[in-house]
Amino acid sequence: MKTMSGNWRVAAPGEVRGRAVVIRTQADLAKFEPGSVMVAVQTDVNYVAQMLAAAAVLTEDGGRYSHAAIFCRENSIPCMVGVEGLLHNVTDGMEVVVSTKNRVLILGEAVA
Amino acid sequence: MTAIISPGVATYGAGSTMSASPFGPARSTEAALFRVVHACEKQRKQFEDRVGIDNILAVMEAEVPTPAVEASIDIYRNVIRQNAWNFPKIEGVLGNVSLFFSIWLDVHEQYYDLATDIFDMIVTYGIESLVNPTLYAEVIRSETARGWVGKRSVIGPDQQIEKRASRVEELLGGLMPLEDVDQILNVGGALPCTAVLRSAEEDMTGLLSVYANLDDDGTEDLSVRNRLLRDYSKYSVKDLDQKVAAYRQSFASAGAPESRIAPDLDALLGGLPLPLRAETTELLGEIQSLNVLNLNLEPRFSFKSWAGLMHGLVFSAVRELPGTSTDVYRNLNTLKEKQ
Repeated sequence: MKTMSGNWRVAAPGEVRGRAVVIRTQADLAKFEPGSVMVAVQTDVNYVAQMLAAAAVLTEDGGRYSHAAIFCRENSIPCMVGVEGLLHNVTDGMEVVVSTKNRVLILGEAVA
Repeated sequence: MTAIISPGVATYGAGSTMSASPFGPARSTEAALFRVVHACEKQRKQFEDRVGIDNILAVMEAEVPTPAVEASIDIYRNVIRQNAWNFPKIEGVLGNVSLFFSIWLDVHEQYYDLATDIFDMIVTYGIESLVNPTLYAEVIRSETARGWVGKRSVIGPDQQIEKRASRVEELLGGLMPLEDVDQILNVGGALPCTAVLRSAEEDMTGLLSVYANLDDDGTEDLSVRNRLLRDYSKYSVKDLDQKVAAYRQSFASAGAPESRIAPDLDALLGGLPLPLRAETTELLGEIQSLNVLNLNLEPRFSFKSWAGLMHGLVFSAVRELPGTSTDVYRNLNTLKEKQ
């Protein structure tokens, strides 16, 4: 179990848990399962269908007006952006607890 | 409206009169945005009228592999970020959103023209013809201009937005709690939702919901399908099929998203003197317009679009040659030497 915290931007609030799916390229979207936590450097319009089904969206880049922040704020999808070291620490299949209230991620074991 | 844009040349300055419109310069940022949308759509319609959308789809299917479409944004982004571009210099534009939109349009009209030239080359000579120094030099020139007005450039939308957001913070900082300033700034990201000015996401999900349901009934609305193909699928039927499948899965599992109520700007600015409210409201309007550019026009007409895919095919074709690198200028020299 590992905890990450930081002064990240909360685009939309929420306390959720889900399996992480790391999206490095658009082709990775095919492995996304509804109810998962989307983990990406950034998002764009091609990610939208999967974002709508995500428990939460976390991005390494981005600020108040980034694509992920605006879309998740508009659609009430829990979201934090500017999460430094996100893709270094989170791997596919990891159980992730997202707490926007405390700006914390609790990373569990990866489940195949 | 014409502009010759080459590296190292400052083409526009503050106070430049840009518009060739019979109505004169745009009076508001929203009007300027309308003009950009109109011009980009008109240019694309001319291309579709000339070639025929069925022919475009057929060429895309035959000549451009689906993985190249899927990976185009990621590949192109690497090209953009790994090369040191020689951008032109410019002064004054950060203070004038309407002028910036006019420049953006000039750049993207040329960008789209080159994309259609690349498409014509593929039709006439095949995708192998994309490796040639003359075309590569043109693509570098075109991408230099696009990157110059791109999201993260020194005069691009992100800088324009940052400048205005900082000004709002400066105006309101000592007058209300930081949480309220934060809420007010979020209004700049609450985009309008009209038929023309809305986010690409709003537009695309709306179209997908119509298209997916019609398809269920065994009928197909060609206008909706064609809009999805041209705006959000780079004229790739397979890309559209994937989007429809993902959309159906999303809605089957999550249902329609819960829409959030936008902050009430009037209430948030309530106790402030009118001149301060006026300036804040104007700045937020400009931020919204710039966000429409980022979240609607950019994916539909810039490097993430079909026009970007055409440019990206040339970059990729050259990058696959032995002896090339992430330095596009060096690659151009290598190509010239091999000629």
